Amino acid sequence: MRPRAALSRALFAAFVLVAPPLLYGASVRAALARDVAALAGTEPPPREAVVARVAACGPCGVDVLIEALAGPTPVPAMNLLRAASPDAVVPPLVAALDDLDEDVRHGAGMALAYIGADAVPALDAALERSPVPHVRASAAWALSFMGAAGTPALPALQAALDDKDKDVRYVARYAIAQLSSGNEAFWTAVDKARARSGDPAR
Amino acid sequence: MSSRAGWLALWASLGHAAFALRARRVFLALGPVPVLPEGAGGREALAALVLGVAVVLGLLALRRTRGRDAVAVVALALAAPFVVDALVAPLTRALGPGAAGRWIFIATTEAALVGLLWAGRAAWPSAALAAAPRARATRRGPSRPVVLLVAIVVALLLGEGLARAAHLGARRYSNPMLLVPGDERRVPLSEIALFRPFGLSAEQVGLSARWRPYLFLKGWYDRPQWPYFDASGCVDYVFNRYGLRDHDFELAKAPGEFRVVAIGDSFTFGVGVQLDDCWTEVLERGLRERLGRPVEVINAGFASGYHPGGYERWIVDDGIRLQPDVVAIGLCLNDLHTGISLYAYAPPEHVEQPLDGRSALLNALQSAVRPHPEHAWTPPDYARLVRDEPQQWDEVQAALRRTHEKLAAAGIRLLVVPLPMVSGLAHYPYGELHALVAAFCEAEGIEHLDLLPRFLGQDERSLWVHPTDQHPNDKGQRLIGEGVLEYLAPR
Repeated sequence: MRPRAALSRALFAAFVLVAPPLLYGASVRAALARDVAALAGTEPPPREAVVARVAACGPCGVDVLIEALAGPTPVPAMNLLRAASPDAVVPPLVAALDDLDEDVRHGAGMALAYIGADAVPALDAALERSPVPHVRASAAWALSFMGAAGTPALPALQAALDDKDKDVRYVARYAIAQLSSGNEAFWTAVDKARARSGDPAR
Repeated sequence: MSSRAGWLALWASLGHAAFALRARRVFLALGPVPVLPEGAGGREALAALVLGVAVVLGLLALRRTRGRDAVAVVALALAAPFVVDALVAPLTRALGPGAAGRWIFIATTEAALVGLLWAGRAAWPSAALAAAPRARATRRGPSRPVVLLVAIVVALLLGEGLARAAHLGARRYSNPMLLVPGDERRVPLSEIALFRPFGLSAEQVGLSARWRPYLFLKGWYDRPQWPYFDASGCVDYVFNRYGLRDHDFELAKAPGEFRVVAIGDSFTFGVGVQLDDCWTEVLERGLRERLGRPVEVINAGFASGYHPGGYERWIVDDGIRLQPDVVAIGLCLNDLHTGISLYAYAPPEHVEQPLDGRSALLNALQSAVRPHPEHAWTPPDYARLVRDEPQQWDEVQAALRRTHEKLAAAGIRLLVVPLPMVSGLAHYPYGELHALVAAFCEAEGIEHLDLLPRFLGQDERSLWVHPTDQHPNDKGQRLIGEGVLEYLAPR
């Protein structure tokens, strides 16, 4: 057998071996997504069973939940994400802030806000280090919902008032306003900085 | 040449493709998982089986016919994208969803498709050899299908070029949208008046009962024509620390300061223009120049909704505390009756265009088959509408009367500015409404300023924010601001 033909047949064999487990995986993802959506239905499956299935799927289960955030019934997925280990769900949620689908990006931001204090360090890091402006803006937006839990991120938000992207500056200012209402000393400092720079976003 | 197995493969591929497209995400963006949980549905398993049958039958048919079964080739081509997607998707999971991952995904998909084609050809060299003499035989000239295909492509390109040259089949504008940066959410512009703070008390949201402090929205327009839009076709709606669309200002009035509070709805808020183009900012800059003393014109557009009944409450609760010298109400004529449209024309019928309107040829063909006239003239009699159903206008009058009394008691001037509609200026159908407002104000001793003469005779399209939004643009806002300036501080 010529080497080229041997290589071709090896590729074909590899395809035959790899395709079935992948199709099998597709079945699992679809079934999980259905289960999660059914939690919002009139006859929901036992929640513990769904939690166990999500956990058994590992990272794939988290991906299914993140995709479900963009669906018509995101609340069950958000609750499952909040109940899961932050170490498992926060990094993929932060990564989903750069998803191609705007509904997924929106759902991921809201889920991070809902998770609260456990998501602050990752959001703080995204705000400071992400090279993508809309990810930084989304991190600031998510932090704006956290109330007292978000106050550790105030220094990063204050630094974002100098971000090179205008949208990030405005969203950071909004987040600071949400987290700092009633903190007059902080506002005085922001006002002074604004007066120095002449930038309305400061 | 085609075999029974080839036809079976084709039907199986068609069935799978129809199933996958209907379900939208079956076999797309896959990911390997270690276990199959209880309850995994049979639908996806059936689809997997059908796809597998299609591929196996197609390959068998090709093998038996030495690669000449055209139907099997079509069947495999139909199945190939799903197979390749299954092979490549795990790679994207490893790379993450960033821009680099996307490009690697695209490149790998293309490479995998080419690889599969190459592998299919190389796996059955006899088929390639069998095809070779045929290829030599056709060197005398292109086959009929090729000629037909090339002719169709050339004809389409020519038609597209001609349609564009003749300005036929214009692409329709998408409706304006509101973006919430960070939230990544898009909502129709018509929702702008419905935005409310999320469960915050008046104390928390400052002076405004509607917007949160420092909220930031962007208004997106499809291919805007005015230079004040940013590169992505947006205007910024930035709110200050009091939840007003204005620059920050001190609540306490400075010594010698002349202060105007402007309240109104979308025209005063400045839908579709940047903050510095709003008529309140034009007025503020003009007053500073003419008066030579500190001036603050506070834009309270949309602060209390979009109806004069709401303005009254806001002025009494918040506006008077700002110690203004003048309260200017930008009265939109559609406040007089819910049946009064902002637009003097019937709105264009919304029709989805093929290819999202990118092909002038297809757009022109669609228009020929199904004409949809834009801006058909409808002659309304708005004054009669108000006279026949005066309840809303009566409420507006009562609110203005009470507002005037309360402001007069506080020593504050009230100026009512009925804002002209920037629509139908050539055959202005709102003229009698201006007269109604003027008559009421004169009877009540309320200062009023009719800006209609400044607008009549203008090219109305030059005053629109956008063909889909007939709010005043920067030029229209400037006409309003300069008119009020001339009234408050004449040269």
